[in-house]
Amino acid sequence: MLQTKKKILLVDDSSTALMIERMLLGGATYDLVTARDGREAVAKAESERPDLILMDVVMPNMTGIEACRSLREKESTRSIPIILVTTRGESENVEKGFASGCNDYVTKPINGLELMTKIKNQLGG
Amino acid sequence: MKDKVDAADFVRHVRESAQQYSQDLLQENERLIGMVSSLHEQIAQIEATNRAFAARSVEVEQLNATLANLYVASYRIHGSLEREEVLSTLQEILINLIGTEEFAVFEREGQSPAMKPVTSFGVEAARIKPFRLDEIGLGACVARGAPYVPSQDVDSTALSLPITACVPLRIGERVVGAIVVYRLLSHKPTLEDADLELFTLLASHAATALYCSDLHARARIEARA
Repeated sequence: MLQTKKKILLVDDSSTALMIERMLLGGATYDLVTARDGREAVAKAESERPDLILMDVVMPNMTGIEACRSLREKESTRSIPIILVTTRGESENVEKGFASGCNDYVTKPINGLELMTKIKNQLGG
Repeated sequence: MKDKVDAADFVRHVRESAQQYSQDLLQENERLIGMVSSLHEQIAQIEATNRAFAARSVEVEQLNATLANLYVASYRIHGSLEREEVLSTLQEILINLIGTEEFAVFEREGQSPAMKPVTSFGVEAARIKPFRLDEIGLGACVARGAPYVPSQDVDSTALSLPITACVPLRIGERVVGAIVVYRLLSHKPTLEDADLELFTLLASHAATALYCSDLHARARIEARA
């Protein structure tokens, strides 16, 4: 029986960030879909039903924190694991992220090994 | 009498059998001890080999990540001929792939040694002052033509410069601009070798991309004229 690939929603307003995330996660490992801001992320999460969301914090239209809260309020997206990507690693920003409902976070510039480990932790290997 | 002789023989036979059995058990025990010791050695060797493979795997992953960064940076910086997009992409590279918090990009004014700021991020405008390539300090650093990190050069008089790195932008041997990094993101304590590789790539590719965007703008103006 063929195992279907897990789907990850990548959310970032930076094309450079999306490209590097695609290179780290793409290929045969995961199916990837993208969104360019928080509002689009919420819409895509409802339509695509990803297995995990990797989301930047600072974005136009709707920030990652706001999008995270919105996703946690909706029945259809409440249980999707969310990893926030932040340029701010200070504890108060990390706390804000977890308070919004994220499951984990990584800091920019993204460390590929750390990201893969955290994704595997959330997706159960 | 015969019974006594038979009994004695029997006892002797049993004793000899028991001694032989004990000998056999001792020999087997020694053989098994030797085998266990050999297996322990093999396990230790396999564990050492596994550790070496794991370390090598981490090295390969890091190399892959470095190569991915270099590929993405060169792909993206040449992705547009519009000057504003080139500068915007340069900002994205510096923030997302290196982890800079404060930086400015300078361009040389024609043939003069004057360098003027053209874009910045996260840094107060008052800190961004034009400079000249024939001045000591930042000008001299940029004029050298190679990426420079003051903290990694203990002999340099440029240690007093309030910068984290400067990256001269070059077309051939000619310095046409510079990226000056004032501060890294708070969770990034220092620049790594991979960052310096990226700086080396940007030194030429960012310069070429900006030059091409200027040519494109001029060609468009001439086409309209």
